[in-house]
Amino acid sequence: MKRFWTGFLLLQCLSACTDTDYTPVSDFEFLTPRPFGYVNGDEIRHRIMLETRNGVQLQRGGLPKRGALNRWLNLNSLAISEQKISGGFHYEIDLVYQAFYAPLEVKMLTIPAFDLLLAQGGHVATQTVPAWYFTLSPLRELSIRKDESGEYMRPDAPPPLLNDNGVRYGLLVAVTVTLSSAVYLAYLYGYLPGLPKRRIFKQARKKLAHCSERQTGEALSVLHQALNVVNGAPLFRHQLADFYRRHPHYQTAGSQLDWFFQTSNQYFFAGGDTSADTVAQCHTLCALCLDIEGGRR
Amino acid sequence: MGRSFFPLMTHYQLNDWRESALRFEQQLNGIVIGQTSAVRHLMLAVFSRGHVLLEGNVGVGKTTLLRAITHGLGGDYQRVEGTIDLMPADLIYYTYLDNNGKPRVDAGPLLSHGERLATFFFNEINRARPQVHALLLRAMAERSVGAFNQVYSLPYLQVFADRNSVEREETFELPAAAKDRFMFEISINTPTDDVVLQELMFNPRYHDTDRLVQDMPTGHIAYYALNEVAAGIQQQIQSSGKLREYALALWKASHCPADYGIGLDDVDMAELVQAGASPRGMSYFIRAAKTRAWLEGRDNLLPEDLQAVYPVTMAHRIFFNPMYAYRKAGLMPELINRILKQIAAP
Repeated sequence: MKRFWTGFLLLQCLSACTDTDYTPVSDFEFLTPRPFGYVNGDEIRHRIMLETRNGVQLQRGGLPKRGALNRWLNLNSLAISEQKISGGFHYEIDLVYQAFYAPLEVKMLTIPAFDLLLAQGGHVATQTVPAWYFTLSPLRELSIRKDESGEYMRPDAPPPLLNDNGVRYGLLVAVTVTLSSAVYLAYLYGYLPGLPKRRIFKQARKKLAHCSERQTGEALSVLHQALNVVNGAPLFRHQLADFYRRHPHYQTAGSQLDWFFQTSNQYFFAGGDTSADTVAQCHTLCALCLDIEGGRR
Repeated sequence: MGRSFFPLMTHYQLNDWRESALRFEQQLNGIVIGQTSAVRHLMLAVFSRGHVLLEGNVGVGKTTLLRAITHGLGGDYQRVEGTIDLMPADLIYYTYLDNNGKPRVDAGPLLSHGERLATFFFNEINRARPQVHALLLRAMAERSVGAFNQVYSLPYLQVFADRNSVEREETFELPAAAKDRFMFEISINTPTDDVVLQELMFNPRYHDTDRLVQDMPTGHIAYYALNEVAAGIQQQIQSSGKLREYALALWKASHCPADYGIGLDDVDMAELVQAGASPRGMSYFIRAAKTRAWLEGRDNLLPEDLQAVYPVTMAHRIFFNPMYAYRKAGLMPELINRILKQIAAP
């Protein structure tokens, strides 16, 4: 009896030392398409997204092999992308199966489960990819009907060719319009040598010229729109650091742009009181940006 | 701070509260390092009185963070593990035989702390059955629970629930109504900064989480005053007409992104969204944004406040059509990002 209790306690101690909470996988997602409406020969795509912990790597030898998995299921392709993330790896495994089963009625089939092998040093763990159930339908009904007007099972007649003259003329017009637009855009962006360039802040300056001293909102909006065009997306004050990283030449106008966004926030979102010379300062900032755009600063 | 209930928080009182809140945030960042974004969102939830759905891997510090919040706020903390056999009654009461062999009925985890219950952590909520989710809905929405023929009030209750993202077998996806009760869905991921990781590995301070939490100063913020503070914040922070237009555009874009010229690769945008954010979601969105403006020391909302809380308030409220649902993990962040990049203000 004493020997039994000693052995029992030893086993308890050993199991207590084991790190039972450790899991090699930090994230596992199994993305599958609709599980119905397939017919003989259809392809089925599965994606597995897997994130592993420190040093744990996927063993590719454990994945199913391309080719016939059973008498009716083929694995046509298997693509794995691996990306190192903090501590572990992020895997995306794309599997393309093809079903070659000719059922006589709607039948539920199973793409079998398999285990992903994960290794860290000498230790190996597994993550099960569950079996996936789907239904396969026959291409035609079970008994072939006899039709009085002829053979029931027959190929489709080749479709008559459509009159495509209208499409051809349409294509000709579209190509002409596209080419003309391209030439016009090239002119606007200044890609045509010898012709004047169209500048974003030049357009803004024209619009600002129509703003009176009291039209603070309009003046601020004009500059916002110009800056949004330069940025390629709406530009907000807290994104200025990123904007300067992508457009470093505008950093020379840093203090003025900071003033502009502060004033804009004050005007549009915090009561609307700004100094009397705001529109004049917008003119100055626009001129500065125009110089930067033209490479003069 | 004493148990005083202000009819209306003054500007100066809210300024004092902000300083306490920022100090509290700093303390939390010292306890759970490398999670500044998650800590900020939790602070916004605490001062907006919103419930939080946490998503993250095991062992990233979710429980430590919640225990630290509870310790800082005072009040009682209760943790429940979601399991497939957990039933609603298990949260309300439990029965047992006492020392004399007589049957006893005692209050369950939701009621045993009475009104002092401030933080309720529901671990692995997606393992619990929908009946349990339904009970929690009322507790979250009305901060009260009906039991033993009476209504128990839980005025300071804040629910934090965690979803396990690794195992999906034997789990129950939260219904839309349950998700909508949560103000935020916050991801807590493993820190990526090597300095932080080394600190977590080698600094013994982070190995004993009990001591770590106990050493944190307490008493600056009292849980029973938070409802008043949150109401004061919502009254103090103002929004302009332009800002309201911007917020409305952000909300509408969550329903009909195609109307705002938003497109995603290989997606028919007219078919993508089945349901956008609810009006309750919009209310949470603005409440959280106002709290952020307050924490930033402003009296008015700016677009950056809305942008900062848009992903955490909207991502769990937008539902894709089933044909795109399986790509949700990739499409949702992209959609949110495009909405924020596409819509201008002013």
